[in-house]
Amino acid sequence: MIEDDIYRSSTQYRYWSYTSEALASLRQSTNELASERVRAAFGRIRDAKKVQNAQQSDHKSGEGVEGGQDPAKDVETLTVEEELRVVHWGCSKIIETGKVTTPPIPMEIRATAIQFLRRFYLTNSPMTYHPKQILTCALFLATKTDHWHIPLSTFVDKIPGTEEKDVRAPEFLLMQGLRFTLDVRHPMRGLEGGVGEILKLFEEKMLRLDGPDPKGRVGKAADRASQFLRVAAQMTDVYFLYTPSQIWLAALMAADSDLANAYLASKMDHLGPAAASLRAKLELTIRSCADMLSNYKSEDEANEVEQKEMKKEMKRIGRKLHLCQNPEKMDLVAVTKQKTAEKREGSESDKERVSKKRKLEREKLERDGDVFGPSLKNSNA
Amino acid sequence: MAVSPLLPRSPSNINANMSPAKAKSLTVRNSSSASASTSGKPTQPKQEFDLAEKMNEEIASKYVKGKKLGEGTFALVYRGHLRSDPSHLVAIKKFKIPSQPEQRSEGLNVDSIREIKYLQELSHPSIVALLDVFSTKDETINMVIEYFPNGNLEQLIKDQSVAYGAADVKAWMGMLGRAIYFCHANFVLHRDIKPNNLLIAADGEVKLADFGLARGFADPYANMTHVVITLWYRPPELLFGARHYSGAVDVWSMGMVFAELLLRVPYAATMSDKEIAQLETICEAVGTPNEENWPGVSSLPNYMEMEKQVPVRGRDYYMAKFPTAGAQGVDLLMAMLKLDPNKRVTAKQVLEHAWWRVEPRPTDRENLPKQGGGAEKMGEDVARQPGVLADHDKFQGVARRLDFAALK
Repeated sequence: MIEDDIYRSSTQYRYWSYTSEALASLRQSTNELASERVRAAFGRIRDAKKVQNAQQSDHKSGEGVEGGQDPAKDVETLTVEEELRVVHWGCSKIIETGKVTTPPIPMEIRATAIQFLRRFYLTNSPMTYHPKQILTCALFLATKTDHWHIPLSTFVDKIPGTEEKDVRAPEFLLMQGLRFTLDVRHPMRGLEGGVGEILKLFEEKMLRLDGPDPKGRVGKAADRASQFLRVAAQMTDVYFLYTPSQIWLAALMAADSDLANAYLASKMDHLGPAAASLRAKLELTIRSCADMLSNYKSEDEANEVEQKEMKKEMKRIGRKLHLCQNPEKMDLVAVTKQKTAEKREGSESDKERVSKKRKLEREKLERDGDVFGPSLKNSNA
Repeated sequence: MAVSPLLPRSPSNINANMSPAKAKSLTVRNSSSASASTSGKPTQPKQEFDLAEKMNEEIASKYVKGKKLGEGTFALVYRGHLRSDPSHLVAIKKFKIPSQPEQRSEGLNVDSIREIKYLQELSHPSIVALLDVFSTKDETINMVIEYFPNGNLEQLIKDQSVAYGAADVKAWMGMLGRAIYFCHANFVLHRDIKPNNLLIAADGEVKLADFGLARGFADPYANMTHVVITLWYRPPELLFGARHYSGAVDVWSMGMVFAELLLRVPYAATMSDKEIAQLETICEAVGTPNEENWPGVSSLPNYMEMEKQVPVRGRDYYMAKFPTAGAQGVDLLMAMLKLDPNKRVTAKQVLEHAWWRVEPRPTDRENLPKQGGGAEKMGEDVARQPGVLADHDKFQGVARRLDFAALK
């Protein structure tokens, strides 16, 4: 069993890896579907108003009915490009949110949450569900999947302006959008291992490094590469397009291309000419991923003029989104309640529910009958 | 034809009172625009699913849910079958919606989340197959897994009417060993290996189930909880509170299962839920841990000097206790039950052991004994909370309280 086989059996490969064309077309159809639904929703509002107006005009005949504008016709929906900008806003919000808590939420968990969000928005549009409704839930779900679980009440205490019900409400929707796959394979550990191997190869003289302080150079490159993984890799599509090992090699390439090439050479030189085509393909793939990483510019890195431009653009999209947000999905808590209520109606009488509650209480009592309680508590499972 | 469950019945949603033609004209065309991921079903009026919802509907409609097989604290288990082929049976594990607000407060239960996470990734003939996951309108999650009509290994061990021998034990151990090796090769620790998590498939294959306590390997410096694995199968390093551990914990449990298969009773069973009592049992069965046989043990967080001083049991002791295992079998058992986790064999070394190459040959899968409790038993097995023993719930400890600890 080689590592490639293991990776190919992962859901990240099976469900969440795309060619750039397939990715673009998926986003296109999501956008089209959502746009039509937004128009349909506004259409329903319009029709409802018409009915209302018609009724009113029955009472007070003579007054003009067609006063307002037609919301369904006027609504201008987001483009795929604009949707992506909104999702990116959500991703950067996750990075920020994880920073302000004490202790900060580990970067890997934030990265998982970001990938959850990005995966979710492949089949959902920000016009249907605004990322601000989803992102804290994604972060909370990531704490549960990645073994950094804290009680929800503590979680919301740490993050100003959040309420438990808002974090909980979209969880199911999110899981569905994730197609119930919760494993995200990150490139960060691979980078650590790779850097360790480079140092070892250097010590054993299997890898040549020029310059006065070769070890310092490796350390610097590792830091820069890790920075690429923490930000650029999260804010671009690289997880959808490349494997974790390609991504960390690309980050190293973007940080110090000579070093990355020396490492590749130490791994592949001895394979001889037979591997030449493989090597060319590999280098091309890593190069293109490295370009994506180094072309990404965060707002902090931009100059003043660019920053202004970015803010202005974000504001424009924000205003546009405000006008085309699906009016029927704004209150997720209500939507969720409605859904569960619909199903439960009639399925279980109140009496049954009470007796079940009693039973549960009794069981709980029996379980916790030991006056000394559980012998040990875990902090991080 | 139901309106999409996501559509609230708000005044703005007046589809229900409209003529079908008008409703259709307002409805999005869903099949054509979504052709990228769905195979253009005929357009149905009033259907307004997200892409994700459509995928979910397609999966859910593949199965027909049948009679209830069992019920646990967090899940209900049903028999089911493929809509297209009623003879193809499956089990559907439906996670319950907690009825009390305080239980709902954490959202989806962490055990369920872990189980889904890891079963989605692990696909191996000796690991229970997760066929599909889908949701139903009431926001519950349904896991579709293989159907196990033949109960589990615990029952089989207890069932005095079933006779089995060394060749059968070797076959089952092979399946268990491969399953654990596969988990570890995928960087997953199971953390709850015991006979009643080993389900017997229709074809006789034993499969590892219940990944509710599983987790990925932690980073070298990161802490993990030591309150995992059902007490009788829990290794001494966890009983001493180790926060950094490896696949060796699963290997210990596997050793305990091996011993239990041979003895037909648990090898280190304690009638108490105290870790100290379990440690004493281990002293008796395996030997007392000390700095000599396990350098560094005294620096583990909950280490204590044991009153019971038993020298590590030698080959003769095991040969007398497990005569059916043979010399090589005893050698493997001793290697799995090393007190010091660093000296314990790895899952890979288990599979490379000489025992597999000596007589008897493992029984062929189709000839393995497989009487058991049948489908109802499966319902209970699959619905049970992780970390809990079926019959000794009262005495058992701590692992089952994991999620309650998180709630408080």
